[in-house]
Amino acid sequence: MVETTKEPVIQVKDFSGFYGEKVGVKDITVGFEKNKITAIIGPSGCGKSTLLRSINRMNDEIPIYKTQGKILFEGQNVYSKEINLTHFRKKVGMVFQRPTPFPMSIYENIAFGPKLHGTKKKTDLDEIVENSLRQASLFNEVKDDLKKSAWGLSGGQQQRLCIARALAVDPEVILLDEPTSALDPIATKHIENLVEELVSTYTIIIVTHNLAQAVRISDYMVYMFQGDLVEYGQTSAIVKQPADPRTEEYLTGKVS
Amino acid sequence: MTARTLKYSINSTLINTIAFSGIVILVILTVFIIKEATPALTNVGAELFTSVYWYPTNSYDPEFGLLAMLIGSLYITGLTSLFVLPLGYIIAFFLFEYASPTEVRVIKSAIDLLSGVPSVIIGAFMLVYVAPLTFKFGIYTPENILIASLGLTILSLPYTASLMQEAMQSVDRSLKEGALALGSTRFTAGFKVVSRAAISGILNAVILTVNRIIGETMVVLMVAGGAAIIPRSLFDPAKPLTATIASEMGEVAQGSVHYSVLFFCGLILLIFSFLLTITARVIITKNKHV
Ligand SMILES: Nc1ncnc2c1ncn2[C@@H]1O[C@H](COP(=O)(O)OP(=O)(O)O)[C@@H](O)[C@H]1O
Ligand SMILES: [Mg+2]
Repeated sequence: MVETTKEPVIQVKDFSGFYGEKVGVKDITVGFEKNKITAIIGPSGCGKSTLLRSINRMNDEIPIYKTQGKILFEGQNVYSKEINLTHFRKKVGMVFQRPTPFPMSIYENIAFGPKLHGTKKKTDLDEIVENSLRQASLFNEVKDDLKKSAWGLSGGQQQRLCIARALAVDPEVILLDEPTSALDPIATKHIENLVEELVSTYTIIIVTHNLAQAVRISDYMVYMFQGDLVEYGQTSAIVKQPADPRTEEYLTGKVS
Repeated sequence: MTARTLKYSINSTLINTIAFSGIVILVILTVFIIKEATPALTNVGAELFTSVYWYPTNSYDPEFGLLAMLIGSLYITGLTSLFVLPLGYIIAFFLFEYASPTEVRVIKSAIDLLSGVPSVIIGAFMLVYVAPLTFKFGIYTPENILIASLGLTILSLPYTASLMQEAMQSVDRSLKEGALALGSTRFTAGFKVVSRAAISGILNAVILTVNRIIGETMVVLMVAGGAAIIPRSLFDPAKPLTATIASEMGEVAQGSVHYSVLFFCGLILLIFSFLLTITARVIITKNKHV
C-alpha cells in the first residue's frame, strides 16, 4: 500500500456487493486520491464496473444488488440514509462505456444538469454550456450547431459531450467506465488527452480494459481479479514490480 | 437441390403467397367498399354531411344525414382518448420507473388478463352495473356518451398502457442512468429523458389507441344509447358510425340507398383509420433521429 498524508476523496471500506447470491466485489478497501487519475483494471467480469457503479450508487438501479460495508465521500457514507442522492451525484459525475447523449440539442444536453440543480438564467446557462464544452475540447467543433440534435455527433464527439455534461454541474470526482472502448483510436487518444488535462481540477477514477491506456494515463492503479482487490499502488511502481503473481500474469498478458 | 434448400424455398414461397394474398384481400375489400358506397354520394350527395336527420326507413321522405353519427363517433373517441391516454401513460410510467419487479409481474399479468376480456362482456358489465348508477345523478338516460367512453376506457387501457410501457422499455437503459448520474430524480429521468427518447413509440401508441377506439363497435352498440342526435353534453346518448352499421346492416335491402349509405359510413371509418396509420408512419420516420 502506498501511504499518503492527504485524506483520500473517496474511501472504500470493507465493501462487498452481491447480485442476489452472486458476488460482484468482495471486501474492498481502497482510497482514491484527490486530483489523481486512478485506473481500475483487471480481466472482464472481475468487478470493475460493479465497484465503480457502487461509488455513485448507480448499481441501486439493479434490483437484486445488495451491499455491505462503506464508501465514504468527504467523510460521509454514501450508503447512509441521510445522503441526498441528488446533491451527492452532482459532486460525483459519471461517464459510461457507450456515449449516452440525451435526445435533445447539444445545448440542452449540457444545460440539463445545471437546470436540474437550480440554474435558471439564460446568460448563466449560456456561460456554463460554453465553458463545459471548452473544457471537454468540443466547443470549436460544435459552436455553430448548438441547437442541433446531439444524436447527430460522431461517437467520439458524443463521448466528449457526455464528459462536458458531467462537468457542467461542477463535480469533484468523475467516474469513467471504459469510456473509450466503443471509440476508434483517434477518438480514444482525444479522450485520453482530455482526461489528463482534467485531472488538475478533478479527481478521476477510470475503469479500463486497456492496460496500455491505464499505464499511459493513470497515477494509481487498482488491479482486481474475481471480485477481489489484488493490488493497489502507484502505476509506475506496479508496472515495474507487481507485488502479486496474479497482477504479474495480467501485466505480462497471460490473463486478459 | 438438397432437402434443406427445398424446404427453404417452399417456406419462402409460402410466406410470400400468404403476404401477397393479404394485400390482395385488402385491395379487394377496399374496392368493394368504395363500389358499394359510391351510390350514396350520387343519390344523397352533400346531405350526408350537412343533415342531422337520420330517417333511412321513412318510405315517404327518407333522410340520410350522417352528421349526428359522425359527431357521435368523434365525441366518444375524443372523450375516451382524454381518459385513456393520460391514464395509460401514468400506468406505463409507474411500471417503468417505480414498480418493483414483482409489482411489474403482477400488474402486467392483470393487464394481459384484462386485455383478453371480450368487449361484449365489458358492454354487459357497463349496462348492468354502471349505467343504472347514472339515475342517481339525475341523468335522464343510463345509456350515454359518458358510460360508453368509460366502457371503451376499460377496453383499451390495457392495450394503451402496455404499448406505452414497451415504448419506454425499449429505450436503452444507459440513457436513464445518464440522467440519474447527473443527480436527476427518477421522475425527471423518466419524464424528460426516457419519454422523450421513446416519443415515437408513445405517439404510435396514441394513434393505435385512437384508431382502435374509433373502430370499436360492441361497447358503443350496447351502451351509447343509439340516438342519432347531435350530443349537447356527455350525458346525451349517441349513435356512432360503427353502431349504426352493426345495428342496421342486417335488415337493409341490398342495393338500396340505405344499404349504400351504411357502406359509406364504413368508408369514412376506413379513411380515418388510413389517415391515422399514415400519421403514425410519418411520426416514426421523422423521429428516427430526434
Ligand atoms: N446485473 C447483473 N446481474 C447479475 N450479475 C451481474 C450483473 N452485473 C454484473 N454481474 C456479475 O458481476 C461480476 C462483475 O461484473 P462487472 O463488475 O460488470 O465486471 P467488469 O466490469 O470487470 O467486466 C461478473 O461476474 C458479472 O457476471
Ligand atoms: Mg465493466
